Amino acid sequence: MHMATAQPSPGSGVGTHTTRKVALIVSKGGLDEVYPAYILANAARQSDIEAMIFFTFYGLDAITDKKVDHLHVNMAGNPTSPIPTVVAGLPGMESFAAHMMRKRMEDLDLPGAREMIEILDQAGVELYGCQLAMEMMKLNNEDLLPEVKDVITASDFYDMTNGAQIIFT
Amino acid sequence: MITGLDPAAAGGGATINHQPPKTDAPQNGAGLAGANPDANRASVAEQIVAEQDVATLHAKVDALTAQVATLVERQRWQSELVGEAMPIVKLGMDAMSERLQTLEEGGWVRFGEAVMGIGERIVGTYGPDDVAELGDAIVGILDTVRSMTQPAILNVANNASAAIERADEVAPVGMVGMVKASQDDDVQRGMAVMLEVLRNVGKGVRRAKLERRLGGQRPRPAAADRRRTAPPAQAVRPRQVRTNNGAAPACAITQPGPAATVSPMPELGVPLTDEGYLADPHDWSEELAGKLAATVGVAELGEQHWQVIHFARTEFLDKSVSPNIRRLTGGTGLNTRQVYQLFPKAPGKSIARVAGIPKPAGCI
Repeated sequence: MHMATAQPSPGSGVGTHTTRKVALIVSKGGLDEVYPAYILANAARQSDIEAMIFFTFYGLDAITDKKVDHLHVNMAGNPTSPIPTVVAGLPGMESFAAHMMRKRMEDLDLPGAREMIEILDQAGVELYGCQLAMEMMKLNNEDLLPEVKDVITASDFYDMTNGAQIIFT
Repeated sequence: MITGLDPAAAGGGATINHQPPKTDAPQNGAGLAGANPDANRASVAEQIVAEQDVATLHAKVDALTAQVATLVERQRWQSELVGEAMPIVKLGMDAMSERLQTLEEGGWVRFGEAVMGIGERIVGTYGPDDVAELGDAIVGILDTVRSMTQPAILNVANNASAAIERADEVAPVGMVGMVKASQDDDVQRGMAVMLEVLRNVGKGVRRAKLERRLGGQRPRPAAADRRRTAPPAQAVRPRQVRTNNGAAPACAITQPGPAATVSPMPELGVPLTDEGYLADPHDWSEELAGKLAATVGVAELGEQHWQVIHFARTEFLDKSVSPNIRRLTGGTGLNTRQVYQLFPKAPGKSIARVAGIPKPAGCI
């Protein structure tokens, strides 16, 4: 898992300088698909690891102002889901699942998707949108949340993640 | 088709009939004298044979003509059918090719645009309160699904579908048949169930109508304001800290106290855990905090540092759980950015270390 430039720090990493860096790619906008990236990025910052998230395709929903409060979760096609796929595909089931998951997260005192972006930004996680996906989805920079640092291309992404560990969630 | 034409029976048979064996003919030498009448007779016979053949052929041709006539008739029908169908097929093809062309002209981009337009319309049209209302509807849907998947219901549905599978064996039933069938016990029961279903459908329709009429006066849930307005990023906002009886925060793993192995640090004079946290939170003092701060890259502890440290200690002593950053920001009124500025290196852990409490276990 470790890349060449990463200096694994002993213990908690507290008080030791490290150049360790992670880059997370989010390509889908489901609640179950964005939160793992958020948690990982946040945990990275709390462990003094530099972190950035690159949002592409439907992942852009998570940083689009109009959509960030309406992120959903797809229950169909999930083999370990308690709801059979046939039922999960019924109209309304998906919204229901999203509703339930939001409620569960609220009970756990997990921040909502919008607040999560705010926290990540404040914690020093750099948030980027994918230029090509933006064009495909007909999105402008104004459509994105103010926390998004920039809109970049795939090669920009590689320039920025030189020496980082790249995680595709 | 050719069964009526048997050359052996018609032509062949005739030949034999008209050429009886000529027993009176001279056997040897007399040849030329008796040859003429013989030849004549033979030619007559041949003619008759030919006439017979022609007759057979006639019959054959007649039969063929009849068949050709049938075929022609059939052909006429087919061409009429094609003639009638062609315009319809052509219309269909025209419409299809036209649509395909528009699709191609517009390209998938335009197609995608249309789809996106729908999505935008949905987002634009429905506000959060609509979604909240939808939530109620979904509960209804789920209830329906649950009641429909009850074993008893499924059993009934199975039996009904078995009857439909045998549908081709069932004879049509008219009014009299219906009256007769209604004498059957099972049919009566089924009818009762169906009537009950119909009654409930009607009831639902009536209620929906009534609700629509009263719709204007129904208060809408005021969930919109709560969800829509995000607090400004920089504002200091003391968030209410949840007091869930000292329960662990999200995805926290409660640690069974400090680690067993304890390593004393000579400069500090107190035992620490392997990870550098105070082994016993009660060893902590403000003087010690200053020394601990140096180990996490904080040279001097300012007012805000102390605010955070004291809050963290109070939280831990109160709930036996080290607070995560979310709890710290909520309790101190500082925002995440400020906390990161105060303790730049892994703030959650740094704060715990300086405050002399165990490493926080949560994910947030």
